[in-house]
Amino acid sequence: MKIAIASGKGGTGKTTVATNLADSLALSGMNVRLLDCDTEEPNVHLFFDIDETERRVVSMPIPKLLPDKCTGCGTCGDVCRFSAIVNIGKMTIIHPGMCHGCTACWELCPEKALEISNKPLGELISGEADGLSITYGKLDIGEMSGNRIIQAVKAKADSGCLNIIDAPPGTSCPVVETLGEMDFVLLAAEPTPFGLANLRSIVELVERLSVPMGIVINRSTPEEDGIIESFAKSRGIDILGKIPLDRKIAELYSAGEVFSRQMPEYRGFFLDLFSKIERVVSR
Amino acid sequence: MKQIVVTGGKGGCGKTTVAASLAYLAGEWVISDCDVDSPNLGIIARPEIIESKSFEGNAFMIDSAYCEHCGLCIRKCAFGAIRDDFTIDPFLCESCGFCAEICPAKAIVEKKTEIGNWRIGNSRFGPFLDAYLQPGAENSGKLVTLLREKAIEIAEETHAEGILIDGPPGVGCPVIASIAGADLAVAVAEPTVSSIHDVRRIIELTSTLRTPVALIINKGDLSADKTAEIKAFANSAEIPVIGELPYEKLANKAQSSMKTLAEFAPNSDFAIEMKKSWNTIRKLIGIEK
Repeated sequence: MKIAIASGKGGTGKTTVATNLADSLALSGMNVRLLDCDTEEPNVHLFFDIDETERRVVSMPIPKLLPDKCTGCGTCGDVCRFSAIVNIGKMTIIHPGMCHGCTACWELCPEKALEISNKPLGELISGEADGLSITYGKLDIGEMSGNRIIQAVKAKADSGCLNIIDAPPGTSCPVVETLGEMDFVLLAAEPTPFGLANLRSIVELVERLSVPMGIVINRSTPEEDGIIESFAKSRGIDILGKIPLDRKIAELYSAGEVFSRQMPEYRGFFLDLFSKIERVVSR
Repeated sequence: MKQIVVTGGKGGCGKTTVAASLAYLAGEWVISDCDVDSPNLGIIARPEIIESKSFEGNAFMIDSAYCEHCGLCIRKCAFGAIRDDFTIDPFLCESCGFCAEICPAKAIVEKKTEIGNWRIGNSRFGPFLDAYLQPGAENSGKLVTLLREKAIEIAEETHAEGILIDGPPGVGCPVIASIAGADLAVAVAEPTVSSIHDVRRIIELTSTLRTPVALIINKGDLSADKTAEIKAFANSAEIPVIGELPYEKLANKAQSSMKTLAEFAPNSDFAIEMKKSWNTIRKLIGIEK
């Protein structure tokens, strides 16, 4: 099973939910993989003492010019929609940073004057921590998109395990890349006007992807929760749990602790959250 | 005319809270919300919209009347975006157009579709711009660049002293588009392991882009240890810490009443510290001595 933790807004508690859910289930004896797909700002690994088992570079194919073969016909620049190849007169200039790796330029070059070279985008790191198997990706600074690293992280999902996937914030391409082929999306929502606005966007996206979803309210207070509850009700989405606004939780998070380790009374909460998700998925 | 971008790497670290208070303190700057995924500054600024335009992208479609099911497009698509039933998955398609180039039956057509919109309005802080990109759409960097170009036009027309940009989270394409060429990046960091990790990456990015950067610590009183860690890091990297904002209980109340904290609680420690930060920013960008 694959469960993604997502939210339209950053900082609503995705990583808190993902790490505590994974840790509580692993402690209960389940085989769990925790995959961090926020390659721009991966945080999951900060909460565990990881024994690294793998670290490798993730790269993408980009064109490389063979100047002896190029006749300056300009086909490559014409077919490239990303301004990654520009032809000035007979000169061909490649901007690797703009390339999406669509392959059109080298496939369509009549002279076979472009060959494929690999450009590093970032790293994929895997390891073990306290019975959990963890993988995360890290986009190199200055690179535009972590989508290919996200694919590599997701490829570590194991159908024999429970896979918990921490998604990037927002609703744009890296989030879509992450949420493909999930069995369930758990949305971490904050009971504020900003939190509601961004919850709407992610709900719209998950509806279009036709994946079942549920909400966990983070920093919940009885006075503020109504803003999320009435929205959830109007969209027919279940609220599966609430994590209260509690300074102790914030302080443990701040120090890089999985808070349910220090507050074991919450382990049951996360086990219960999982059994609710399991019921929806098996339906 | 100066451009300041509020950034931080981590989502929820307080970028919009800080940007909103700066917008209020700046007075008649052009305000541009460049978080096109989650544009929240408008909730506080409540602009009166004077212009709204659509943002278009290219979508590709297979015309079943012409498709001969040869499968070339499926084999050649680098993004796996063409399904076995010869339809295109709009989420996976990156609109490279390669399939349309190679289709022997010329069955793949390109259509312009609306993938978002951008707006210009007037707010109590000054001219206001924001944009919204539809969930899953491509080209967020392009939309950010477009907003910044429009903001410059408006700032020139109104003779504004500067442009204040509220940036998106992360370090990828829209973040690069929001920071490149700014006079100062104000990076907001919280005293948490996550935020410290993320802001270090933002500072790596600002240095790659050669954008001067200053730090504001938000919720500094949450952890004395981690606040000290941020300061030590800033000190070794020679980055000025221009404010240390306390955790403000009224933050949610201010947001619920659609006001900046500087307006809602002008005598709070938060508002006083924010004012000091703004004065430091003015010195850093050279509009005040």
